[in-house]
Amino acid sequence: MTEHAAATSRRLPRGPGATRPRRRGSAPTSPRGRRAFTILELEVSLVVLMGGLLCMSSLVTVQGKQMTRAEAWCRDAPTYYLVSQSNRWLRMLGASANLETEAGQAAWVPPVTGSHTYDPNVVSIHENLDAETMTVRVELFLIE
Amino acid sequence: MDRTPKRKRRGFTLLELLIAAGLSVGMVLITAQFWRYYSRQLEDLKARAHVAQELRIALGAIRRDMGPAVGATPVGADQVLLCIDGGPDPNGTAEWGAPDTLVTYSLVNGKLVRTDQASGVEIVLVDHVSGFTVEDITASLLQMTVAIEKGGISRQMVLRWSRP
Repeated sequence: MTEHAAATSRRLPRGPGATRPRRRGSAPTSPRGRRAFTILELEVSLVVLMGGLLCMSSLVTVQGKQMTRAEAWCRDAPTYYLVSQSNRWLRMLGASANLETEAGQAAWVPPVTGSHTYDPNVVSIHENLDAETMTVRVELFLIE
Repeated sequence: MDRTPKRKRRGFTLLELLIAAGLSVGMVLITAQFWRYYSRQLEDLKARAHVAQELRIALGAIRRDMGPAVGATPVGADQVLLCIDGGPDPNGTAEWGAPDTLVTYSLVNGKLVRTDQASGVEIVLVDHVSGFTVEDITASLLQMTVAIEKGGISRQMVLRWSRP
């Protein structure tokens, strides 16, 4: 055993329950040799925790404002007026009813009704001889 | 002979410890209050979002069926029968049978259920329905009220439909 090792073994107590001597300026240690938290560390961690919670609280506040805006349509027991489609083509296509907030508003009128004049342009023609069907794609140009 | 150097570090006084402990307890209490308040706020937000979403789904479904509807009549206080114009050439008149499609909206165990009368297919549209009432306001005006409630949040909407 060297002289240095012998000196070290003299300074360090051995056996169960023995405590290591604290170095100068080091944090207090438990009997098992683990370093404990200081009060300062505890206070800092609490401040950091509170800062995190405050950040979260701002998120909740923003979310609350957005939610208030998003549910504005149903907040005060609204009354909506449903207007069924009067155009039979729209009924065939299964278009949804028009939604109005006041009674007696004119329902939306599709642009294909009325006495407009269109210039048709045949884009493509597909014939299916097996099914005996023909699909024609036509573009309509409104003539002012 | 003890060669361990004697340190002259001053420890905390009782007053310092009491102040530190008081501050810590105060911060923990404030944090707990914050946490409880914002947990409640989050639950509230979740319930509000859920209720608004359910109402939106109910409105969308009823709108979709009311678009081509040519007739609607209440069946009891919490059920409505819709006559949807159908067939290859919709004629715009309510034929309570073929070729038109009959659909029922009803309240079953807190759920708004859409039933296709021809196929018998039932679809649960929305949950947490606290009320669904159907009534004839006038001879030509039908009124449906849908109310949703969850987590202490209650919302309702009124839908009025004029017979064509």
